Amino acid sequence: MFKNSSKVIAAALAASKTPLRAKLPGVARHAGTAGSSSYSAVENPVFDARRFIPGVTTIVSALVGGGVLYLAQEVRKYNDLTQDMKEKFPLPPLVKHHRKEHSSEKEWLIIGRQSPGYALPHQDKKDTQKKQVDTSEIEIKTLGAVLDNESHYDLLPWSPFQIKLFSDNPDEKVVVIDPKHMLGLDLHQIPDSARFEIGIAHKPGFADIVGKDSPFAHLAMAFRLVSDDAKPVEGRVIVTGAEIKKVIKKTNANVCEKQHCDLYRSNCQSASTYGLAEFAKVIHKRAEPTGSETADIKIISGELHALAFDNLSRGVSNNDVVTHQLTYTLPKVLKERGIVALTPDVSSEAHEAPRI
Amino acid sequence: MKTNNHQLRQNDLLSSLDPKTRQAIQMQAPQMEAEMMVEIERLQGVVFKGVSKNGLIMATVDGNHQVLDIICDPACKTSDMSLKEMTSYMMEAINEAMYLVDLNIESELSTIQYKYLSRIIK
Repeated sequence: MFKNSSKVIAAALAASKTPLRAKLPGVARHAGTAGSSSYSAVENPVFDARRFIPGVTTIVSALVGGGVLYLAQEVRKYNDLTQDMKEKFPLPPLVKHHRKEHSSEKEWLIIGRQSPGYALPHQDKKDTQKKQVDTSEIEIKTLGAVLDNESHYDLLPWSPFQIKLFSDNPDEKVVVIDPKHMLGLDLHQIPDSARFEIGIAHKPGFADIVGKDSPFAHLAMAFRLVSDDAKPVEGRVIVTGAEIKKVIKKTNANVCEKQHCDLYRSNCQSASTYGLAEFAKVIHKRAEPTGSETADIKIISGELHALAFDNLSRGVSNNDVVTHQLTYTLPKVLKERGIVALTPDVSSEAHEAPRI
Repeated sequence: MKTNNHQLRQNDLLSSLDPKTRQAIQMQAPQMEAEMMVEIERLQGVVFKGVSKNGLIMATVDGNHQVLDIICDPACKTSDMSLKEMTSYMMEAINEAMYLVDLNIESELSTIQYKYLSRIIK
């Protein structure tokens, strides 16, 4: 059907004048997501979900000859982020090896971004959300999914979470946890004064279908509850329940609720990376400093080095909001803390936040 | 004008990359486009079904976003839904099917893009 490219382009142009979806409810929201206000056709010449709205034929016009520009653009963004982080961030801790251990305690809180479609039934509030999705509620599906507690969800059930707690200890182990070790707290139930060690949770996705090189993995923020009488492990980053709530609220507002969770441009990695960088900001402005703030911020930013480039940096180097957080907002904190020297573009007042 | 801008932007970007990467991009891009074209042709023939909230209306849409069929359950005849409600349920069913089309296209094409981008970045 599409052998002749000139006919294809003509057909695509014709199709683009009859946007069926534009006449239907829910379309505007679907179309206006993913940090898209600064998004142009030139930025993603091959693929833009909004091009699909008029019809598949429209894609073809964008496809022919657009591959070089698309790839060059994505590689350049990736390289820019690599360079930026190299200049503006302290080096990550040198990890000797990733030994693993299994958790035996119910002490883990994992908060990540996921589709409401993963909500388990019979979980009160979550059950309501699942019912809404199951009844073809397009508005819910097309909104970015919010960060929520993983223990409420049946997400990628065939693989466990592997958690790396942020620490300056190069011998820090990766902890493997099962759902039974997760705290089933809703966000509002987390006590403000509770103390948590902070880390990142990684869950391989669809490995049974696409093999071990699956590009899909779920990333979430992980928190280990430090009981009242326990002494925190030295070198780990401790945050409070109130700080967790503050960060999640901000991440929801700037990433999850504003961007369509499309797995490639905005995904769980976008939310986790943004959120963890936000922790550095919150710790920096802590009202009652504990004295470990500078060291904690240094550890977080070091860990973000590796995290930002996981999964080919999809959802980070190609997401303006997250890139801005990593290359402008966080370096400012690092400078104010005296961790790194400030480069000229970071200090510039003219630096604009991406519109979301 | 648009083509010129496209070409200028492309040249500008390519010149900022190292020769090895540039060569890799120029080699991989046509393959990626070809693979995506094949996938698009396949997706045009794929049919998606969307169902209204009350489960009484089902819309069938193809990969080209053409509505192929709308089926009303026989229970529609006996229910007391108004014409306005009926059209609202139709819209729900069509929206659902359209959403599935978009999601599928987005997912399939992004997977191809990811594959080629990973070859260059790695």
